[in-house]
Amino acid sequence: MFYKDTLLKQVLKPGRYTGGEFNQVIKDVNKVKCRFCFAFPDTYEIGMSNLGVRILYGALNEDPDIYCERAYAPWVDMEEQLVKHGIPLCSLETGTPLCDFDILGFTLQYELCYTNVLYMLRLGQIPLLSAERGEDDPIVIGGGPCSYNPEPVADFFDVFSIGEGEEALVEFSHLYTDMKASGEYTRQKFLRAAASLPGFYVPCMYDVDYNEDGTIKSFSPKYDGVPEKITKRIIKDFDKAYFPTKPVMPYIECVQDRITVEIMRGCIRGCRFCQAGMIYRPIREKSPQTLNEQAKQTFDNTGYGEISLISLSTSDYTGLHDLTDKLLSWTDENMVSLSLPSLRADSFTDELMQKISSVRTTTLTFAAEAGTQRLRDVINKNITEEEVLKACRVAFAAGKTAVKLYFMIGHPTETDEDIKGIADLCKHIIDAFYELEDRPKGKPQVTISVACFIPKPFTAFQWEGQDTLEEFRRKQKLLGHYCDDRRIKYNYHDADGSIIEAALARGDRKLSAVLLEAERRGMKFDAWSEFFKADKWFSLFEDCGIDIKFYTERKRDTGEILPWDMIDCGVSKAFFKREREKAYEGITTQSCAEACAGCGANRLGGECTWCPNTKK
Amino acid sequence: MVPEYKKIRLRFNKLGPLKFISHLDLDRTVKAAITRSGVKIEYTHGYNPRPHLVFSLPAALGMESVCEFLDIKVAGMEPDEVRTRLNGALPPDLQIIEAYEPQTDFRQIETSSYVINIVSPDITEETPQRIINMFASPVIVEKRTKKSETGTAPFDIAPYVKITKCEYDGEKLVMNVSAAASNSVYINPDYIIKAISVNLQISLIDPQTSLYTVLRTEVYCQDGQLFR
Ligand code: SF4
Repeated sequence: MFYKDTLLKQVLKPGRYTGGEFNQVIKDVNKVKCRFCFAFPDTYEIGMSNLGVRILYGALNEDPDIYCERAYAPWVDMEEQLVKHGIPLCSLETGTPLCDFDILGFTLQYELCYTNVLYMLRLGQIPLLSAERGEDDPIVIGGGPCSYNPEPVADFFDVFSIGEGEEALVEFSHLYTDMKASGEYTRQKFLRAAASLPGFYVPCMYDVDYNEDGTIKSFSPKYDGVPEKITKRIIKDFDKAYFPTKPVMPYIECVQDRITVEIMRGCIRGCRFCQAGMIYRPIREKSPQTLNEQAKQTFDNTGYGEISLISLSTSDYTGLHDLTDKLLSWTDENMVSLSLPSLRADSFTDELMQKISSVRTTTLTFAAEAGTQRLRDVINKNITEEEVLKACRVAFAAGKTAVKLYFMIGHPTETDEDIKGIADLCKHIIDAFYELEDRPKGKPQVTISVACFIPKPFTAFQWEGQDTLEEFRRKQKLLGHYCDDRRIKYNYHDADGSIIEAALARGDRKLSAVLLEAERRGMKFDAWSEFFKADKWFSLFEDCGIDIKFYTERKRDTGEILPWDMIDCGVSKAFFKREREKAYEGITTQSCAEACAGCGANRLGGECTWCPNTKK
Repeated sequence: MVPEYKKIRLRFNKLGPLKFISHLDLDRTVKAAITRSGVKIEYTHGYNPRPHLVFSLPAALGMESVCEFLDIKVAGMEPDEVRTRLNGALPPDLQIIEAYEPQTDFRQIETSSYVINIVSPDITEETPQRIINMFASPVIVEKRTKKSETGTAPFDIAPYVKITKCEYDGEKLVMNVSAAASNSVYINPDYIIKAISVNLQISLIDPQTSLYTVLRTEVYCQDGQLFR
């Protein structure tokens, strides 16, 4: 505990800042060669629940030369104290100020956390701009899903790790220690060397030129040996991938206090709006054997009472029944429950219902994403109305009266018919309830949660224009009008957050200036509704002389150089173009389990479940 | 066969970062440790069975303690083994000092003793005497109560606080205090510190120059006997 008591007694939830949790890693700082700090740009409670951070923290600490510590964004009451007394933001393990680390790694999980990255740099007393950092400042590295388009935050990062970091970050740290040991190290030399390490992108090693209309004219490496394209890193043998069976256990309550095991990476479905489904390809699974052992070991080391099997689409995991049987052989007697998020409606069966306790106790949730079959075909959400109804019938027959569905509005080609379709589907679910002979007592309730479509890099819809704010609001109102049945509960988010997110998601380097100004204006915690202020963002763009619609509403030409073109995520641009054409024609693409659609991710190699030429 | 459960009382400490966790967090932390330790304890009955833990009046947030109590029901294991097993699974700042079959009830607890340390540039040689004088008359604080609408009410803590030592060693003020800790009156030592800070104008805000700590050392019954 390194912040003084006096300070901690003046803030809410001091347990966020004390460290010293069970299973935290303690090393002798004088015996390690590289001091690494993992920074999560959101609160402790959210960051501690992130499996990616747990994996990287454990993987780096497996190496005796590296000591990886943690830091989270302090809540604003703590910020006030730190600023008032001139105390820097420190790591939890040893209370070291962030500015004293060799390497500071940020994980970028969502675009709205960008302001918090700058907030943490400032509190950690590190120059915000990469160009302004000196020899004694840490190397600031970014990773995570948002780093697939790192350009909006390019000015603040010295380097980005593209793709899966378990192995890459260890190599990166060794490059650092080797250069330090040989005396070759200077910031510039190190970054130059890092740029040629597979899977690392060093923004300052590239020149960008713009056309008069603001689009990119050219993007090129400044020096020989700096690659034109950065291919993402993957773990080739996922079954043998490092897994943290001794996770740090927070004392204070976090979002996910449970055992999480990652059963596969990637997704066989090719939903055309979904970025995660593309950037984690090719699809790799862990064996039920390995997963069962990892879950059991984690249970022995933590005593958690719940296991969550996570992936993008859990029911597509080929060993699901084998795995649940293996787990149930020891979980029941130990009072451990199983939960299975991300179930597809078409996979939802009586048998699963019996096995999975979370299914028994919570409201069932399915992602339908669009209201009509036509639009579901456009976005390639290969699920039929009948499949949704069937899943609901199973749930109703098992005694449930409430179900929850996710939708999105603003998809390309959407018409008012499709909006109405959302309400119609809900009504059909209600009818299905009453048609059922062995239905439970009471009234059915269908809750829908309706998000706004955000075109994302590395999807078939990466060139699309987003709906205007007015159009989103009109559609939201229209849907409210169609949801005229009291048994439908209609929830939606305000559209402006999705618009800011969209601008940042497909932004270029020019947006770094906007974010710098956002930090100067004290903006932070923008992923929190109590802090996010849409007007502040809109006037920020305006004051910086940047037209936000250029990034959101503008439909890109498929020939345009996109800000993220230097990244190779495995899935090819040709595939995205084909998928886009098929979307316009309303033609669906089969899942990888049915036929390979030739997305290109198999080039990356690895032990993949479905890909041709790489099959196990 | 239904196993026979025996009540075992654990006296444990709560130090370091654990002083900043709430009662609920402590409950979760201990439950997970019991699961890890393999000690089989009685679960609550009903739809969602949970391990059955009964804590005595817990140390307040921010306070360290070497005298916390927890009762559990264990089948087929002697107190000593329970202690060794649990200590292997518990964090180093939360360790069991004693384990035994209790003869008493938590309701018999009447007072707690504390060691309070205060560091502040405003403390002088005269401070100890002024504190003793201060507690010779009523000391009114805004005490939390469920009875009042605002959530607090004026309360004289002086009759419930006994100062057995109060010295200034040139660096810090050290006090040994015993205060009411029964079900009917419980004086959080923070009230004592706050009253001293306000009445004698001793600033405790600046983390560079001031600090105060509280350690609960013992718990007593009505007759002044140690509670066990
Ligand atoms: S290469 Fe084929 S099977 Fe592999 S992820 Fe791509 S589409 Fe699916």
